Amino acid sequence: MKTNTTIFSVLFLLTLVFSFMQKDIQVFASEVPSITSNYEMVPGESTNARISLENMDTVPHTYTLNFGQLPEGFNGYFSLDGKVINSITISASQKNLINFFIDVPLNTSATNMSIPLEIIRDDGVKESLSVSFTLNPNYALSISSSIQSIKAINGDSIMLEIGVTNTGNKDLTDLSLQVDPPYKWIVENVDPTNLTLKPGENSLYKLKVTIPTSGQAGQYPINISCTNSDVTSNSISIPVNVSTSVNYFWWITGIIGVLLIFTILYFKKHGRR
Amino acid sequence: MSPMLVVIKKEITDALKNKLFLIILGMLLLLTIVSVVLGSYQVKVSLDSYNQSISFLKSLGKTNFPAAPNLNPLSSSKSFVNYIGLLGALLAMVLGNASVVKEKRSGTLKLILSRQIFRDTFLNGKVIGNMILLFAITFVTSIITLVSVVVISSAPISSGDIVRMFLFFLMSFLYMTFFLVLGIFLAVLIPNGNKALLITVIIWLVISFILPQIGDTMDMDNQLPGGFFSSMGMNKADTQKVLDHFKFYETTRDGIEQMSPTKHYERVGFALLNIKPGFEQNTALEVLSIKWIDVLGLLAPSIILWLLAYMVFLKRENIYQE
Repeated sequence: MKTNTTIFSVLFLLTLVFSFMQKDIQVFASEVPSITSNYEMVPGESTNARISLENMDTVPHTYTLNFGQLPEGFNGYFSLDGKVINSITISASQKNLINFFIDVPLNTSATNMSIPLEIIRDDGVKESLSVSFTLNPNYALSISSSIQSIKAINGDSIMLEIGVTNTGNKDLTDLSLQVDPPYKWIVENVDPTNLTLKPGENSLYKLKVTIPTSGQAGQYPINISCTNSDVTSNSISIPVNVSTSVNYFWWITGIIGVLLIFTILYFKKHGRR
Repeated sequence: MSPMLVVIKKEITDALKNKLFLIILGMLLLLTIVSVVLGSYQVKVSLDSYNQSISFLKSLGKTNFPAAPNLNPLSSSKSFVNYIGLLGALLAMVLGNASVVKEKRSGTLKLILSRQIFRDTFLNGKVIGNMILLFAITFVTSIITLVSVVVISSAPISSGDIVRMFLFFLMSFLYMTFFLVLGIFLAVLIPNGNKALLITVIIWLVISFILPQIGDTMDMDNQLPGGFFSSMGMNKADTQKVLDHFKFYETTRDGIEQMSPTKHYERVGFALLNIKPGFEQNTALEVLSIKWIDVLGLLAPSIILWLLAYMVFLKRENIYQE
């Protein structure tokens, strides 16, 4: 009976110690929630690794998110609900799904890379994990324009020429130009509407954009990219410097001039008083 | 001393004894100081927050730092645009109206004009004297703003920013000058001084609030909160197709907005203060050259009203009566 009591006491103590150890070690856990933690990168696009972060403690904690050095030209950031974050606060026994984005440059020599991630809790406890990325060189698209900026008058139409090159290893079909003009500007036509490019092949898009007559003077960007179901190109921004038609100036100064002459004549007729 | 200088000097002295003018001036200066101090403090908070983030990242051994936020110390004058639109205009109207009406009421107008002072010289003295007052007010305000931004916000301010700020205050001066000349013109045109002031205020309400409001209200995209096109689930291409059918409507709407010097003042002011995006890379003079229509929209009505005031004042026989 005594032996049983002793064994039970030891087991109880061990359980207690183990449960405390468990709490200390697994205070939080992070994982990449997919079958594999290897993600595919497409040149010129963003790749998203989703990371599940769970607060296994009984009190809320703030976690600082860090990632290791990225190859040149790459850009990385953490995001939650569309907002870039560097840290996150998670309530007790709750979990959050964080996005780790990698912006891949168009021309990169990196084919495989492993990015170490480090998550530091506010009390100094750290957890590390690694996410691998592999480059898919099949689909890559690049666009360019020789136009640095355009000067135009409100009410005018401007013509733009956009060069597009298939820099990947596979054919790209149904390519279309995505034009994001300033508010109320009108994209009159894009020629050609759809395009197919073989690897290494390039072509030219021509488009006409009309500035509304009510458009205010200022500098406005036209953002352009090219896309199909497989790939999206880099985005280029062409600044358009809009000025007001000089006709308004001549009308206003003309009215003032006429009134000035009329005033002088009026004074000449009636004399100073 | 030339007759015009005498009138100018008298005008400034009289204004400094005008209680209504002093009350409005006090309110304007108080609001300006409060808004600029709060604006500068906001810039300081943003700057401190950014510096703390950098220190934290440095302590973690990071070498890639996020880009500095757009602090734009000039934005601390944003509220000033509204205060000038309200109190600045009111101040100028009171000055303009009082400058003529007080002379009629006290009977000094008859006395002054019976001396060797021509009516046009008298009017020039009135306008220039009050313009000097308005210029002094905007200059003092610009100095207060500049000192507040430099001392409180600690944000880096370039010589280009200073030029932009002074040009913005110059636009504020031109805006107030328009209402000054409007006040003088109506005081000369309408025999009853109170009626003249009332009509001046009504015109101010129309051009400062009703015309810009009509412009905003007529904007199709403002018909629903969050944007009409967005609420209807229309993408950019569909939006453009709709707008393409409303070119005349859009031109009319814009024409109504163009009739408001307040709108012109807002447009050029926000561009100079970098509140409206797209002018960050331009120098202050480049901004003015891009926004010349708005500068002209402030200048032209003042010149036209000044010339009309000459003609009305020259021929009026019952100028001494109220």
